[in-house]
Amino acid sequence: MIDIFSQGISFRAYSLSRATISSGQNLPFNNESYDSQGTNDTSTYVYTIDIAGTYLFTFGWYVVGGSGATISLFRKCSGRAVVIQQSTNGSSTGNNTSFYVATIAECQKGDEIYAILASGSCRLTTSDLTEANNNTSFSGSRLSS
Amino acid sequence: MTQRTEERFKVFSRSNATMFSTFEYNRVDFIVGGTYDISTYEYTIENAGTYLIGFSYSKKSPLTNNNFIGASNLLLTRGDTTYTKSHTRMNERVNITIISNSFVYRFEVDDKLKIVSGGGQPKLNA
Repeated sequence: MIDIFSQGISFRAYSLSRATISSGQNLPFNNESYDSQGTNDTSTYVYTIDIAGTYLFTFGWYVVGGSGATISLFRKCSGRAVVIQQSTNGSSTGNNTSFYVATIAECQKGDEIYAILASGSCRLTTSDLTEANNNTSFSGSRLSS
Repeated sequence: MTQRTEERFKVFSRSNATMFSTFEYNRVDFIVGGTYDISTYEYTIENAGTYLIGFSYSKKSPLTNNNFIGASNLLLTRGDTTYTKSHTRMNERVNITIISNSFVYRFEVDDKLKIVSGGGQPKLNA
């Protein structure tokens, strides 16, 4: 464990629902722990970069038994969306197996960051949760300029 | 501008025992700032900030007709209340698999962290 961000630019979002997510959707992290710049949208699940820099992004998800899933973390810059990290489970992973991803990207002001379920299905918690308990999250923290 | 305060630690175990409650990371590699209790396996935050936490473990080998889940919960105790902040789980008939998590969170002074079993038979080493 290391405090590499202090209390600088960062956000963290999470879900309390175990609902199965269908392909083509942004992963619905619809609650927030914190959002220093107020630029994380909990209805579209898109984080907009407020200050350019190098960022660490993380997200997590669970397998829906019998289903594969491919999740792409996108950076949309000047209208052009580019995959900056993918996560996938293959085809025969057990139900509720977790996958966690951490990746670094250089971002410009106005870039949009979001995770899309490109194919298959997945979920964000293994059971429906009550507030303050989380299973997975979507986070970003600015590391440097 | 916020000045970052140095705080970091790494703990580990050499045991391959199955963990049924708190993960017993009982050896300290390094620790700067904060405190780690080697008897309760709990870390206490000394400086408020946004931290990156990584942890990993394995799980008991599968038997012919019995798969062993290896699950864990990252617990945060703030004041008198304890929350699960991340749940990690491997549910596959596989052997010697390393299960890992990368977690970022904004902690407050005196927050306490530990990893506990979340079900099945997780182990700290294969």
